Amino acid sequence: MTVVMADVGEDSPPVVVPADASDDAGPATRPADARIAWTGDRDTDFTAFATRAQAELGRTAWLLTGDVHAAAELVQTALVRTYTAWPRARAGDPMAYARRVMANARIDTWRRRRREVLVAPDEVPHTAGADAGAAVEHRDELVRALAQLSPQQRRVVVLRYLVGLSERETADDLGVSAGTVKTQASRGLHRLRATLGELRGGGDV
Amino acid sequence: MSEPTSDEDWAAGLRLYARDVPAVPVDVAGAVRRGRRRRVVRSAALGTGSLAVVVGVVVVAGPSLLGGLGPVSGGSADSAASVADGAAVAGSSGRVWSVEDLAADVAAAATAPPPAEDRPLYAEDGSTPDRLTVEQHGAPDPSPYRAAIDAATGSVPAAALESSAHASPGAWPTATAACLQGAGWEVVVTDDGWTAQVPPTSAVRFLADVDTCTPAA
Repeated sequence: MTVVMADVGEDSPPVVVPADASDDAGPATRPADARIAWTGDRDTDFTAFATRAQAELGRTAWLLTGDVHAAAELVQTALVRTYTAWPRARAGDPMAYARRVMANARIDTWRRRRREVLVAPDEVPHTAGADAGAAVEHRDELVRALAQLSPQQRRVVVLRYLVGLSERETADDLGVSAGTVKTQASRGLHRLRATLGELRGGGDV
Repeated sequence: MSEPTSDEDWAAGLRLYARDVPAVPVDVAGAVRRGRRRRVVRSAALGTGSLAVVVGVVVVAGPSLLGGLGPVSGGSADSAASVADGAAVAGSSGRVWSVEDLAADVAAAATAPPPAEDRPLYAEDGSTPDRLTVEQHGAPDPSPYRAAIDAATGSVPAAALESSAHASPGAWPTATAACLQGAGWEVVVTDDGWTAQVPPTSAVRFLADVDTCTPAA
């Protein structure tokens, strides 16, 4: 991994430096495909990070909750916490820090409080486009199947298989052992397979 | 007949199902603003051990939480005495904690993951008390609840806008109590407020529900 530090003034915007092509630590959906050269100013650096990370965090939050509003609230909470702990978050991996906050949120309790059903079909937003119908159908199937998992299995499956973290990274995010991740991932995946069966369309392998 | 795919291959196919998730709106500037406020609240809680300036209407009677935080005020002790006379005080050690102490505990617990809302509050001896007795007197003021919730979650709820307790003056204790009961809490109406029994692991959620059930000024 290459960390690039640029000599820029405090008022200057952070510099986004594309990562080395060989610096591929995971699936293409992983967020850290570019490095941000920190300026040392909390607001500037955090804003640069959050702007770059928001899509990936939003995607993870949606997969964890199955609801746009709940996901938005979860991302917002994660970002606020990351801002508050910015020196510590920046010293490590801010994305991992934010993701850790989201992963450890009480998404089960939180859903109950919001009086929302995770996978109510009418609440799943639809998108337009040529392949939108199939994509939405697949997405709905997935989120319904995820809802049948326990909260912990859902966290593991989302982070391990849908976000694409390694077992070790998933364990670190959730504060559990790699063995627990392995077990939960296996059980969760088998349960998903039992629900979804052989994947159709773009999901065929 | 095709061979079953491996779990890893099947999971790879599953990723395609998650390819087109809906866009989730994110307010980066709002996160910065709330993060600044949260830093201020947390600094106040950790620096002085008290948020007494902004609170004063809720008293928590129960075992001391996350020991070492600020002492109890005389006013809180008076309230504790009234709570101790009541029937809803089972399990209380007699020590009194005002909501600012609770907010300070929650803020202190929020200094590191996991989020404070996941973190139970412990007694000084490391045990977790069965429940806390929370008491409110006088006119409600949502600011302490919101400060505590913000410190714990980094997100001030829009609860006042959703309040189901738009009560007239004099009727708010009943309306608030009914609202809290509807949310699943054990609440008893008193002459000028209410008392509630709260598990120490649910302090943040309780404060959020109090905020929800408190009529807007």
